[in-house]
Amino acid sequence: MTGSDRRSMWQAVDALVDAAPSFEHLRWHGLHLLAARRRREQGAAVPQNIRVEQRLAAVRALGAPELLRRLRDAVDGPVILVKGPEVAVRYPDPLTRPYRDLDVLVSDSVAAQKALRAAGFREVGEPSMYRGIHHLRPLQWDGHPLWIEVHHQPKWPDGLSAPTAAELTDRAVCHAAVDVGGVAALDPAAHAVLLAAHAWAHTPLARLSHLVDIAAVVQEADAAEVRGLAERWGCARLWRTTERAVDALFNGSAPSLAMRTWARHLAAARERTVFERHVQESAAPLWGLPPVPGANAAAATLLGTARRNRGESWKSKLHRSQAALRNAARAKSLHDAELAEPGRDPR
Amino acid sequence: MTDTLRLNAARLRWTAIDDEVVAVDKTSSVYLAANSSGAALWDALARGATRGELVATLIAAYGLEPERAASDVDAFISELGRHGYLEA
Repeated sequence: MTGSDRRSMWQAVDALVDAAPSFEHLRWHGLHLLAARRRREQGAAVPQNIRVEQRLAAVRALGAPELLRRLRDAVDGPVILVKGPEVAVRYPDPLTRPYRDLDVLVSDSVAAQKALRAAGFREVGEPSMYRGIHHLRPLQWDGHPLWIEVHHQPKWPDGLSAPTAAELTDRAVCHAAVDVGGVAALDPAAHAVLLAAHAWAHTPLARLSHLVDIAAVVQEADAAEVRGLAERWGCARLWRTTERAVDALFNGSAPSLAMRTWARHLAAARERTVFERHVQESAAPLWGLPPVPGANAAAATLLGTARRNRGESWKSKLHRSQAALRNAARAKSLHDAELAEPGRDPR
Repeated sequence: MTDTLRLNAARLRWTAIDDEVVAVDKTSSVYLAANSSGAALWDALARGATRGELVATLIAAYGLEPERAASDVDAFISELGRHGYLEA
């Protein structure tokens, strides 16, 4: 990709930010700090709460190298940093891409976690939340504003097999973003696929920040190599859908069918409505996953929609369903806020 | 007093956000924030400045009385020095 292409991509990001209905929509998309920078360039005021977040993002970014040094000193073997600062460094201003933790991939996460605890890191977070997932309990260093998450594999969509730590180590390159000796990064092709799979595992084509991250990284990779890698790692369909969305949003390509239907909120830089979220949860697996896991995931979503939450009465479930229908065209966060209001839940 | 004062770059990492400065102590993970007047002094201290130059910076930027500016500068550099954030 040329310098002109890069400028064009970031101009497209700016245009999306300018088109957003409000700061709150951009916060939902994770672009609020980019928006703050944009507003400042335009001579407009930045809300105080966003200024506070800017400071926090700066503190975290400034503190990242020291935290990584402590980690590097404590852990034997390859350490690969993904997401967070590795993506932020590719933004025009790295401080506009916030992160709360440092995600590192290691070949033996249990041994690494043990070594870090012995070095003075403290485990935080409710233990039950981290059982059987792709990383161990977060680690904190003496009040440091960043946490560390030690991964034995990347987060990957259900039904697909994530690449092993050894496969990822083969794709590691010398570190460029955070200059800490002995901490590696993934090459851009592998990093782009990992980011897409990670985003898909959370919320497919939901948040613009996920797609901006992918666009920022993939512009340094060879497109054919990325597609080949996605194929090898079993996520060719989700990569194709993601790539089309990135091209439509930032490279001037025609919107894909997904972008015109269940992900249409992206081009407007607004939060999904309740209805769009339901459609996305049902449709996305069929779009991005192979037929069998896709059908299973879609069926699970539909079943989940019809079921009560744990401990929820049928009366409460009915109330939630009625509210969802009434609020179908409202932003999901407003709907959730309404349900959370005291006295609204007829449990 | 004509000695040049300078921030201890071995201890601190910092960045400017708008008219403020955010800094982190590399050894203790303590973080600091300076408002716009503190940021003006911070910028001068990053390049190296005498006490008199710092006082002049505040007077020029904020139109303070010399006594008030000197008092603010003394408090600022005293606080930084107390934590080892100025080069010895």
